[in-house]
Amino acid sequence: MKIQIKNKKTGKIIKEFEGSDLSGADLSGADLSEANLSEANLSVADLFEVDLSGADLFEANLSEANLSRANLSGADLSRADLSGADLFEANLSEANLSGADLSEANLSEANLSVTDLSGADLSGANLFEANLSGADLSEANLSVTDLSGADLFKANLSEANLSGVKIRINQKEQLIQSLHIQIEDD
Amino acid sequence: MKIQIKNKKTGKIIKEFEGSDLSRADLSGADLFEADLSGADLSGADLSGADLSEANLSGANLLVANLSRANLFEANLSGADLSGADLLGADLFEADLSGADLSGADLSEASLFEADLSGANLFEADLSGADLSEVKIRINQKEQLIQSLHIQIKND
Repeated sequence: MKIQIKNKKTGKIIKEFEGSDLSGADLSGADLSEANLSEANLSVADLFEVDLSGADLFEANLSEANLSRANLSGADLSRADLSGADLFEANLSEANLSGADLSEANLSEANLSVTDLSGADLSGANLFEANLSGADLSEANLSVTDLSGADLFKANLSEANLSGVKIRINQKEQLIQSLHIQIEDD
Repeated sequence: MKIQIKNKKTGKIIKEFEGSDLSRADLSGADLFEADLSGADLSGADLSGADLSEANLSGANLLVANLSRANLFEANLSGADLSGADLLGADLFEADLSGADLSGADLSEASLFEADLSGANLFEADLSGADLSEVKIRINQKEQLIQSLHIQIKND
């Protein structure tokens, strides 16, 4: 049995694989930009430095996958399973991660600028020094998430669950601002 | 003795109760829209799921009352005692909570959009998962608010 990865627009075959799914596959460094991988099983796959920019990964299973330094800018990862995935230094700018499962994922130093993380599960995730500027984290679950050193400039955290979130003292003002609270002088 | 709950504008009787106070009364799911309950003793009362939109509850005693999922849209709760009250998932959109005592109250998942919390006591309140957009607080309440979100703050 063969699996074909096709361009989501042109239908052109980008890559072919033997087997029934892509779990545990080695795709490190591959150019899979604009690929159609919606609902694909890529759990535990090696996707180190892969180019998945603009790819369709809707409801894909990427649990425990190695996506460190991957390019996922503009990708559709809505409702994808990224639990326990390694996204160290990954580029997720302007990606759609609404409703995605990112629990226990490593997102340290990842680029999440203007990323849609609304309603995403980030419980226990590591966002150490991640760029979350302009990111939409409304209604996200951030319980026990490490946000220390993360850039929250113009991020939206309204209705997010922040219990147990870790931040540094110098991030308090940005965090308060991201909750859109109006503060009056005494 | 009878207690009458009246409409704050028309004076029309909404509900009647036997007794001298409303403490521990079962008012779950009650329609108390625009009711005048200012200064009432509702301590320990069950108001879960009640419609208290635009009600006047200023100065009311709501100590450990159950207001979970209650509709408190534009309600006046200024100066009310809500310590230990259950406000889980309550709709407090544009509510006036200025000077209210919310110490130990559970406001998790409540909607506080445009609510006025200036001068309210938030000591040990739980605001995790609440919608705080456009909520009004004073500068000296920032620390309590941060604490009520259960955020862990590390030194630089």
